[in-house]
Amino acid sequence: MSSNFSDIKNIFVDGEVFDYVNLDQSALAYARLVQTLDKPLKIILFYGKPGTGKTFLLQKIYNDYKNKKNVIFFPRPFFDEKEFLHSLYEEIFQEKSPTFSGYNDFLALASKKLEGNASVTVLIDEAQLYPVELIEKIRLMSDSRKFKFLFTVHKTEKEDVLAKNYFQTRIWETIELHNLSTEEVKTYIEKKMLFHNKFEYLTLFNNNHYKFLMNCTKGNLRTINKTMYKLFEILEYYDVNKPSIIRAKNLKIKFLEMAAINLGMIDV
Amino acid sequence: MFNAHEIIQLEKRWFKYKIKQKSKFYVMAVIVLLALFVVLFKLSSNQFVMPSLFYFNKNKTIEKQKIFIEVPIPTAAIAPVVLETIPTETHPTKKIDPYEFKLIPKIQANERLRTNGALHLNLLNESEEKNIPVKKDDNTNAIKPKKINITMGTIKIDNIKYLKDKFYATSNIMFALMLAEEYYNTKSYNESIKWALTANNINSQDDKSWFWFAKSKVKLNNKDDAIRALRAFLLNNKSNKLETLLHKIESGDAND
Repeated sequence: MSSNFSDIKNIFVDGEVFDYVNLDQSALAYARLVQTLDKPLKIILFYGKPGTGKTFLLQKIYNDYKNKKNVIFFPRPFFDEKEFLHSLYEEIFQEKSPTFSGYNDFLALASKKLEGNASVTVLIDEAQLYPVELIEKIRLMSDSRKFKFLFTVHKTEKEDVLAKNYFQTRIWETIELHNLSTEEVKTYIEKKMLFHNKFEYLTLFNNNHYKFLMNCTKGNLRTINKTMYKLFEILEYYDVNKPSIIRAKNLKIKFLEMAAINLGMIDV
Repeated sequence: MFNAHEIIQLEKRWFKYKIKQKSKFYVMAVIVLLALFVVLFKLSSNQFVMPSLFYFNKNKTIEKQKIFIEVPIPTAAIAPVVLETIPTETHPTKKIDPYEFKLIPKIQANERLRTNGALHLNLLNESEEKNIPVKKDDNTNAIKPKKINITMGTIKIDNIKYLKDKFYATSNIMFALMLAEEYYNTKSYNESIKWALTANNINSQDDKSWFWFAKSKVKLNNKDDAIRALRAFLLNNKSNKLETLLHKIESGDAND
């Protein structure tokens, strides 16, 4: 048996559906990131706690500007220098990469092929996972002014060290993305539902639900998605097996609590 | 989608969570109630303590008035007056109280005191005086009216001494208040304060003790003490007399 909630839960599958929700702070970060594309910067550091939506924002920028500017997006980290150089070459020139004996070969060829003052902006996600040696090569590439790198890192102690030790003199711009506020949590869920034409289900929620979500998830987008998914999964069961206990309006907070318990966010 | 078993398990965990959550609330509520109970109990056990005038008297040299009661001893000055009035009719066993008998007509200077109703309880008035039974002569059946020679004269009575004697005899606050007033009228403001404090010590809720204290303080140029004392009293008590006095002092119109 299927339930109305079966579809809704899929809205909140993290990373599967690309439906960027424009929130106050993400809009601000987006505008700043876009501005950096036109500035003569070497390295931009974009950081925030895990699950704050950094990757989504990078994806949006890439989607919005891939046809307008020389922008490349690497959502997955590289651990091998040669593999990185190959991928970079193929993404820039849209042709099969030759074999490079080393970093200098790549830089010489790429500089030659990039005409005039043309430069490439490389969006690198999960930069904290890159090997230190590769980071050092990337740093040298940024010195050539042919490449501009936007590093996305998690805001942890380790990444702060990374920034200080390797890029301290080259990072010209730092942009931080914070967790959501209660109002933004509300806006996020509303926009998600509206975007997917499920706005009639918004009556299930009231301010208490949003506050609860905020308390449980600390405004972390990834955790919000997980909780909402779990909530609709629970509602799906009740809708099929005990439909009388689900209200059309003002959902019992019990179901959200059950979702949070199931995800281990509440210690029982 | 969840299966029935998973949901049952989840509901059990949720129920456990709610119990845990509510138990926290109940424990907190019990703690708060207990704390409230303890506070209320303490408050009820500590009776309200009236402010005492002693706290407002800066002059530490004025010691608290000792109150002792002594039986008044007839003085030589007064005894003859009595004896002379009824020389032969006095009952042999009757104790002579110099203040009880026929003083009133002769107290000219203390007329003001007589107007105080309270004092009448201790002093015979003229009508009562007329009803004093006259001892019959055992030897004769007929009552022979005796001619009594009453010497009418003016005897200067020391009000303060009189009031002090009465106070020491009765410990009645009324005399202490009168002494405070008497000293105030005679411009002995420190003495007035002393007696106001004595009266206050007997009954701190009697607004007259505060009244004379404040007035005397004003006269001694200690307006602040007077104001503080009056305010302290009026904080928990109602007294039009003191409110008026306070307003007068604050407006600088209490020097009468």
